[in-house]
Amino acid sequence: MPKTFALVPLVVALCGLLTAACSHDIQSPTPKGSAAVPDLVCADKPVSKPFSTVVINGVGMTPMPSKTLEDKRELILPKISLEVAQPIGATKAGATLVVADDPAHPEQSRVHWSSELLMSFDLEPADKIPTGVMTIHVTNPDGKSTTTIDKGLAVLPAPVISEVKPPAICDDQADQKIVITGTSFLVFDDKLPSVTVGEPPTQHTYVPTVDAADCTKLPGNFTEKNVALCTSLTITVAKGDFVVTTATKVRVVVTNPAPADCASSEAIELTIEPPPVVTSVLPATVCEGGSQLTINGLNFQQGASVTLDCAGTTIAASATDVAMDGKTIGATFGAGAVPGTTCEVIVANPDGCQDRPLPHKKVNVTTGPILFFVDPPVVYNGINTRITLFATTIQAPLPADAVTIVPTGKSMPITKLAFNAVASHPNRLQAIVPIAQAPGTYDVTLKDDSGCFATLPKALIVTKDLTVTIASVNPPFGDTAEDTAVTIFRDKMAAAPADKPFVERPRVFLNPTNPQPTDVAVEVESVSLVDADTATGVVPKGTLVHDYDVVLVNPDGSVGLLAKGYEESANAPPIVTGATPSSIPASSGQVVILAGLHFDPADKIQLICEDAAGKAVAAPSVTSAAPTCVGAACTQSITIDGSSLAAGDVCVVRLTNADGTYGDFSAIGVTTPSLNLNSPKTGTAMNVGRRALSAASGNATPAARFVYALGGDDGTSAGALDTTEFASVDLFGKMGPWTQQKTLLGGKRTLAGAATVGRYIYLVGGDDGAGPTDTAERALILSPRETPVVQDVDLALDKNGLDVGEWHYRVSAVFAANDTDNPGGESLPSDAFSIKIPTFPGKKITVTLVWSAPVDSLGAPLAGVVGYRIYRSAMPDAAPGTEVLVHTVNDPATLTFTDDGTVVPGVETPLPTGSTGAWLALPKLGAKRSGLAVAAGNDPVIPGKFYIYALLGKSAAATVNTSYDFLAVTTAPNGRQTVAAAWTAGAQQSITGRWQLGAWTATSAVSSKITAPDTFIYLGGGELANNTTTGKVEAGKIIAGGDLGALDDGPKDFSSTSAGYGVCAANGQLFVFGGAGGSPSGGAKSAQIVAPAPNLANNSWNSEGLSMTHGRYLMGSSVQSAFIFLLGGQTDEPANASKTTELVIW
Amino acid sequence: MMRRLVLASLGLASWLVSSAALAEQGPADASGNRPRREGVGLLAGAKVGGLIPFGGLGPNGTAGIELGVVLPWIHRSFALAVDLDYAAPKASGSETDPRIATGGKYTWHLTQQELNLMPVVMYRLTSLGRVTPFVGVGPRIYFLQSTVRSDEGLPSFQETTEKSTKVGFGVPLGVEIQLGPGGLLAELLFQYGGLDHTATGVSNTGGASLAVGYRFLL
Repeated sequence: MPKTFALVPLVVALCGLLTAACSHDIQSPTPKGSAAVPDLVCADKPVSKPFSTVVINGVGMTPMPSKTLEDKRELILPKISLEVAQPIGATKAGATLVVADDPAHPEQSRVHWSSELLMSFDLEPADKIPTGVMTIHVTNPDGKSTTTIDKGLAVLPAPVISEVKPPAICDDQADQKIVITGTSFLVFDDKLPSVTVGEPPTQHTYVPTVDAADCTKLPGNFTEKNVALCTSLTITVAKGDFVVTTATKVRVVVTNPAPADCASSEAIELTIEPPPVVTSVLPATVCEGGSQLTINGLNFQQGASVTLDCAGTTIAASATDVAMDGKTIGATFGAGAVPGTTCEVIVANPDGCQDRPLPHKKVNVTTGPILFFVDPPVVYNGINTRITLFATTIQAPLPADAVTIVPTGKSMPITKLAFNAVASHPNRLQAIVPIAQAPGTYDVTLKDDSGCFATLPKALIVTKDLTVTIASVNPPFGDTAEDTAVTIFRDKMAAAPADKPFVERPRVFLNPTNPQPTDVAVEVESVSLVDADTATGVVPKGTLVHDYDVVLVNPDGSVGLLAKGYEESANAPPIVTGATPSSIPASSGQVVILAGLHFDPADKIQLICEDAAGKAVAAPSVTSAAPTCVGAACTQSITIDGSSLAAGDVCVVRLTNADGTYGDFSAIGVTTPSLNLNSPKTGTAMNVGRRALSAASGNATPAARFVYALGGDDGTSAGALDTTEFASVDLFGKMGPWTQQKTLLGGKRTLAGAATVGRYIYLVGGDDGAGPTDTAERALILSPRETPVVQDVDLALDKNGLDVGEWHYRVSAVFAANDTDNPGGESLPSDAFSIKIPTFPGKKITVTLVWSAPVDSLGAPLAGVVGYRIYRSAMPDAAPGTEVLVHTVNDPATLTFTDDGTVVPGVETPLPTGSTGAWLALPKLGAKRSGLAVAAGNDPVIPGKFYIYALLGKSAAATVNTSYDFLAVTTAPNGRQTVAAAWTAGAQQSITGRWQLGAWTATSAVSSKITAPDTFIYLGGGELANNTTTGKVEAGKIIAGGDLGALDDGPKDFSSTSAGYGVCAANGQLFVFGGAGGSPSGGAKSAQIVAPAPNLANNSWNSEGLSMTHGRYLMGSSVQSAFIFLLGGQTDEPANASKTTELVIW
Repeated sequence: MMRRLVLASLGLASWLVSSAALAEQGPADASGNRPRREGVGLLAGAKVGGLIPFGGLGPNGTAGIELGVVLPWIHRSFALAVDLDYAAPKASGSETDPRIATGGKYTWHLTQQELNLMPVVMYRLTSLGRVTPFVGVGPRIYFLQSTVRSDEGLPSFQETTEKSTKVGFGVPLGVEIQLGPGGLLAELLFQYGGLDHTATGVSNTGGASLAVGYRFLL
């Protein structure tokens, strides 16, 4: 064997020895833990022992003797460590705690060893053991033989009380529930914490109830079930558990159930209050409308309530003021006590205890005023606002502090309001809510000479936030000698939060600018909501000459303010009634004649223009001549440089007098140099598709303008309609939604003709579905100024009556069946009268409305009134505008209605603004006329007299008329119109009988080629008896008495035939829309009136070059303001009877 | 660790045997007597005796074997050998401890097993004829195992063992009396090594052992 190989075993042996020499190993038996007992312990000191001890059961938990060869031997016990599996409180999950055990100092150890089967450890409070659900690890001395008891122990914090609610109780008269909130309230199985209240010997221990929702389950492997920690406990302190004579504080302690039986240590105390004691009540009487009592005694707590128990009827004080020393209460009561009864005065502290000893002190009830409503109920504190107080009775003389307000629920501060009596209304007072009154809800108190006073809780809301933005008021001026109808526009572009819309039934006030302390806002009357952006109203005549801020107050409390938005003038502001022509080409040197009233020699003219999209454009320069006036009526020539404008622009003419007042005229349209019209725009759709309808336009007030769709058919005359509908229109042609009228025509009617004069719409001839008819009818556009006015209201307590809340009333007049303006119909309703019914315990209130009869524009009572209809909201606190019919008065002399709440509300609603009255049948025509033309024109001699013309038309299936009839109408100073007893046949005939024709009325306002007072009626082409078309055009001039004389065939005929078309006369032209060839078409044509009238230019009836939104035939056409409205008809949608509408500015 | 210990022992023994195989034998004389041996020789022996530990353990028996070579120089006065011996001294007692829930007392019992491997260089005074005193010195590699448990009585608990390897030294003094192919052997061994087990605390493996046996010399 080579020597080299002999060394190998030696090297192996040495390596082995060196490796072995470095090793060191201990091996203990393998332990196996089974459970910790108890598994719920408290980290703090339990009430039953100094600390908690946890026993660990298992096998193989083997100690190891150590240092056996030293002098001081030690025994190494298995190590016990706690790992936080689920922290409670501020403990971190995963943190590990080794239970203290030092073999060198066994006397300090927390670990104990009994056998390999049982160990234990102590949780001493001083160790500040982390809290949580613990996983226990037991490791034998070798450090590697270990066992785990997963989530086998919960170390819990002591319960903590954070709050006791209520903090004070009075258990003198009833059991008291107390809610204890805090943390770490332990529950499991059927075990709950215990709650001790007080100290021995009066200590009581309670078993609480726990809401599972207030508990969080502890995840762990516990012997106990449903272990959870809760945050709220409820205990019931039994009546009489604690008897005290003064407020006494007692400690509240929560102790968790064993084995984690720690107790809370916070100094939480519960106050045991004694019951209040009433020694006297002053005065000894209360009034039925309200009272103030001073109650003397002891133990009154802040927030104590006071009630009157009047033979079972309970009246709560609307406000109480408890003195800081708890010995006096000032209590304010509203109405409700019944005179003659005796009431117990009951004081109840917030802790629930009533005054003792029994019996309660008593007061007697006497008569006095009852305050039941304040109008308006919402005021803006940027102005002095006049409010009206409605009471059952007011006994004069009144003290200086007759009207006061105080924040609801409080007794201070009291604001004394300036007031005055209301003539003819002894039960009302007017008072002024001063500017800068603090916003909030107020109780209003009325005090009279009876010594009593009446309080209406929550009667008034004072608001300060301007969340509605008013853009403008139009017109912004009014004549103090006249009512002035105004339109109020909201700024739709206003940014939030000032972007609130108008709400149904707003109140509008005119507040003098730079007001004096005594200045009071003037309320605008007849306010009506057009839409969320527009409202109309009437400034009453007699309003003082002044500049005014306009304040709009919505019922919801939102307010808008337009500074210096309206001026009431001593002089009549200018009114521009017309402009001729009312369209100009977009070029310089355009001469327009303005007509109107009250033009000032030093007036100035400007145009306010916007394009077809509604965007403002630069105003053109305007030069003007001095106005020429005859009396108030004036004309004025202006020259417009329209070169900066574009076709499609629309300009409002503003004429400003020297005193700054101005009037606007809507509007002058801008056309192409050929005077062609602009393209029509789509209007709002009607509710019903209509062919061969009649269209009309009219105003309910100067500010409330409407267009009407009357009758028509569903595509064939056999489907004739008897319905009508209307839509609102503003100055710039913006249409509102269509509203179907409740009032029906006198019969079905299609292929008729219509004309509007003043507020009357005349509907003549046509086809009733069975064939041509010779009937005619008219209706009056109802005015919101010709309505009953609610003047007063009386209240009475009764067993029947209205429920508590706000109610709204409106009253309309009913007219006789033979009335010539509104036969069998009704008027628009009055302005709403709102009333807030206060609480009257045990009683209800009957309401008696008192109103005045409607009057005309001259203040004279309207004739024909035979009764009234009373509308009321069906439910308390229903929104304004939801009124329904509740009663009808069939006696015109009866101007009152007592509402005891027993009537069953109906479903009928009052008429909306824009409605017409019932249709009055007119005398029959001299012939049946279907597809006729209807026009109106003034008598050239007699002012106030005009004529309605029924022209041609078809009298039978294959017969057309060459004749015409006219009806004389006389207008009275109050605007009422009286028709003649019969139609008069025209003296001469047309040379071409036809139907489906149109007619134009042309005056000097239409064409400068016509000299006033001449009026020409033009008859256009149509269809012949065989339904072929003809382009024949004729004209007649109204002569005294109404006849048209010989119909002049001179005007140029249509260059291409049309029938069933729309018409308009304006700007010296006659316009025709659609109906080309007697079919739907979308074009238009026009003819220029040339001298001598009625001649038409040789190039007449040239195309306007426009395209309607739909081709139309047998449409309705009407002019409202500066716009031509084209309604329905047979269209190219296609529709036999279309709902569509369109409009074009002329 | 035991596997490493056995491997180390076998390796060392193999080296010694292979070294002996290389020894050169002297020729016999005319009378047939073998002349005094010269050259390399093989040494092997076994011995038993008793151990008196100095570190607190009780007396205990000991037994061992040895294997080595006799070097040729100076009439074979030097030898290299490896001794492997074993002893298991014990100790026990009782203590008080407040953590013991059952009476505050416990008993303990320690068994300290020692397997020792000691390479040794010996000087043998071969000039005295049949009697050969010898003295040696060498490191002692202690393979230790402490076993603690409760002693008799309650509370009882199981064993915990603790193992380690330590290095110390030993000084054997003895005498061989030629008999047969070898000689009777009497040896007094002084030894010392560290012992710092958890079970034992800070102590040592020091002690004196007296053993007798027989040593072959080839």
